[in-house]
Amino acid sequence: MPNGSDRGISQWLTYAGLTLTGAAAALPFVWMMLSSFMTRGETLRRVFLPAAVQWGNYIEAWSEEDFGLYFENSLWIALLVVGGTLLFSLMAAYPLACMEFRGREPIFVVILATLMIPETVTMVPNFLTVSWLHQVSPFPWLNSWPALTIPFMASAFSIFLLRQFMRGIPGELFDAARIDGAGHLRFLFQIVLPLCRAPLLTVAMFTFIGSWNALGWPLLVTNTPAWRPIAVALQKFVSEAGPEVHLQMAGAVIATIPVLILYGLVQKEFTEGISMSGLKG
Amino acid sequence: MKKHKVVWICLLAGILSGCVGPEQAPQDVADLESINPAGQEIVFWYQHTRIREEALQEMIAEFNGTNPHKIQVRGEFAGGYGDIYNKMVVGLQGGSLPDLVVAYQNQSLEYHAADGIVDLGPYIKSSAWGLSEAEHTDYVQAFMQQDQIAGGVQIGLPPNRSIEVIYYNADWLQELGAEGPPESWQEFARLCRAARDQPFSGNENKERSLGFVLDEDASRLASMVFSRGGSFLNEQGSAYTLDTPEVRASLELMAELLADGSVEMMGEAYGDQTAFNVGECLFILRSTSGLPFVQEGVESGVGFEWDVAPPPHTTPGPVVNFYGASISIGRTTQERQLAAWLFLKWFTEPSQQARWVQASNYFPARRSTQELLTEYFQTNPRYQRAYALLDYGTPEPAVAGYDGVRRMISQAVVKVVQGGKIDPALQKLQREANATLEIY
Repeated sequence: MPNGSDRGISQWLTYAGLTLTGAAAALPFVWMMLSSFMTRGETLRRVFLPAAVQWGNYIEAWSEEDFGLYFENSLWIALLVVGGTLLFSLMAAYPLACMEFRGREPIFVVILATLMIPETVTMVPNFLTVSWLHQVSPFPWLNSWPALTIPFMASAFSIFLLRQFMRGIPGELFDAARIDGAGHLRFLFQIVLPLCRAPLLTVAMFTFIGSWNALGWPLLVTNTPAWRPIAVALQKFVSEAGPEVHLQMAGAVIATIPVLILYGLVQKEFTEGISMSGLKG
Repeated sequence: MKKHKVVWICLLAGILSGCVGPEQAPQDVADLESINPAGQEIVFWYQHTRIREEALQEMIAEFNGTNPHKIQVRGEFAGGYGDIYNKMVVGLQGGSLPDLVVAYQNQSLEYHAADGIVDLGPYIKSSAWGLSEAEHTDYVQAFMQQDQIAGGVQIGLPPNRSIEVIYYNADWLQELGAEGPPESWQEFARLCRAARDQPFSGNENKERSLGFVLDEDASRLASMVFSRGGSFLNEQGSAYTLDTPEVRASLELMAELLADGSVEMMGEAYGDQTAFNVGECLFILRSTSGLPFVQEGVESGVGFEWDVAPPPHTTPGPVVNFYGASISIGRTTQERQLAAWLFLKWFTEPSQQARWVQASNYFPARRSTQELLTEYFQTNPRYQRAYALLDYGTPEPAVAGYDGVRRMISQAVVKVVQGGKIDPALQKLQREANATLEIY
């Protein structure tokens, strides 16, 4: 049995380890912040601290590449994708978790299998589908929000996460609801939905981040800034001959703000959602 | 059940019919002289950002406002070279193709093989729309030849090029007692070792003193191999030559210098430029298009005299690696193709070239442009010195699949210079690179 001194050392080592890990995780963020306040020369010389804080970088980054428009686009795209993903994932996860029907397990396995397919493989067929829809539908898909949002509203990971959580809901709840005259839809939206707050917010968080950071697909389906997201604006600070790190980092800080705000708002539920759906290590 | 099957088959057929072929039916260039390009609206996909994009957009606006045919060009940033390639690949499989697209030669070869771009030969020769003999010969022929494939098919037109040169810290060279930049690789190695032993006086971090920072990029190795009289491809273009004495000598020297601490591998993007800016590194090997970046970096860094020179060589004269993307015309309609050609022709005229190279720091594709660059040469003497090396240029392979081979070369460079066995590495590289030629 460890004595008090052993426990003290063990605790000290734990804190030291956690502090080091925390510092390692925070370092890139600190570097991004510091670089965003430097002159271009300071970033080229790889100094750690700026001699004087360059607030102008933020103004330049915002104005030079029409950041306001890209920022607004990203917000709309992310909100639409999050909304769609929550709705469709919920609707797909519920029968897979709470309803008995033939082929339920094979369908779930097929949905899970799509997680193994790299994005690059699905890019061409997705683009062809979107191009075809652009030609036949009454509203434009390319260079507009449908191509940027609708293909991402069905997420195998979100379905999996919600299904895992819903499996923990006791069947007696549905039996009780049925006695009160509720069908599946009413049970889903009036009983299951409020219970799923934590995993839904987790899904919302993951989806928001994924959508916010997307670059390859938006470049493929848009040709004008009208609907291009913020990641495209960040890419414009890189040229063939050299980067403009100070502006790129100022832009990156601006781009990170919504994600940080969202995380701050849902932090508790996010952690809860991860642990309750059995995803934690 | 049967009814459902029919619906599904119809739906699938609908999807497939919508997905096959580009947006417009491919058009051949028939009776080019009688085509009327008036009023065409065309799209130009490019990779330029910031100052270059601003300059390009200004020029596009000028063309749109002044061309007699009222052709309207819309310039669109389509991402980096890789993004543009991806967009083209999906475009070729059913999406829309641009009228003008920036592409490296190996990429345009793939587009041409998929019938996505047109042969510029008929446009160049057209009596109504083409180039005069004097105009045609005014293009740097080596640049034009990069875009020519079997049968004289011209798959692109060069708007600009860059070359790879050695950037050197002249003050440090003087401190080391050297009279100038190294002309041979032995001298280069000697100076790298001297730089390791005697840090630059202006270097604030004396712990790190290097002769050279090696970037594993295939173009760096190409520069070293070309300057030894070697190449990456045989004369017929039928096989890679990556297991040769020149490649071996280049890698062996780098491995040797890396082992004795006078050279380091580049650990981060543009890490060589950063080390050069702060006086930690005597030489870097880079494209001339980076001249303004190095200038700004050095000025804001420790500040020293620096200059550019051709890479050291074992050949009688210097040999430099030149490269650059060209512009190809997408296969759309005869009218749009002609409109795209007229913009391309205008964009490569000397007066436009002079504006473009001053904004981009590229080298012009037309010889006569230099007459318009007198002032620019005076204010940018390093650019002028590098420009004088154009005649010593040799291009990298212009074969389909070269992008993949470049990645293989980078991997082989890392493996060998970090102590891997050179023979099996080069044999494997040669074998795998040649296998890509068979695919295409």
